[in-house]
Amino acid sequence: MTNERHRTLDRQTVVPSDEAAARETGEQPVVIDVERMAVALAGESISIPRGLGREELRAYLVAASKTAR
Amino acid sequence: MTFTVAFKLQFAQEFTRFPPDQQDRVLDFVQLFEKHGLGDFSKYPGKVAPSWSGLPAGHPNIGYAQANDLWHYHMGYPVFTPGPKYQTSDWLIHFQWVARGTHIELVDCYQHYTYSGAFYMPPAKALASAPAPTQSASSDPSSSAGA
Repeated sequence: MTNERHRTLDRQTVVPSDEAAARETGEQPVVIDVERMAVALAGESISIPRGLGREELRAYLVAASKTAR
Repeated sequence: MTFTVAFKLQFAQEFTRFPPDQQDRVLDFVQLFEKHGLGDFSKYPGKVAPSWSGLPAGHPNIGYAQANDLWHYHMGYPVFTPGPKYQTSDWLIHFQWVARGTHIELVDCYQHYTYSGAFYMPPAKALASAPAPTQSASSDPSSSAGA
């Protein structure tokens, strides 16, 4: 009984409702998919040359995507 | 002052899966940053915020977001939803902005879910005043990297 109560309290502490979070902070929290973010952060960084026009920029990103191993 | 942008390879791979109008929203953000940096958020039509904001005290993602300088931008896809102070959208661009400097790195782009796992729904009041979608863009997670 006591353990169940503690688990419930822990859950409430770790994962409060979105409503509770919004009430506490005044805004809707945004999720971070940590696993997915970690993979992205560990990947190669590619700099965008300054001064590219809009379509050049689009083409640059598309070309860069093909550099994956 | 010169403002520079880089992107993670995974971001570029996801970008190729976006429909052209969604790609346009990403390009808008890049071009706005190159022109203005992030010294004045009013230059951006969507909300710019640190990704640790809004989380309740003690949430583990606060430390993760702060340690990695993670911010996000409401890119206006599929549409902007007016809010009390800023416009928001279902889709976000997640980026690193180290020390609030002159350089950002685009990291990820996915739909806005709340941290309890529910899909974010703007308040009904905001929806009532939101403009009708101007495009029939797909938000099918399978057409992008998903959320």
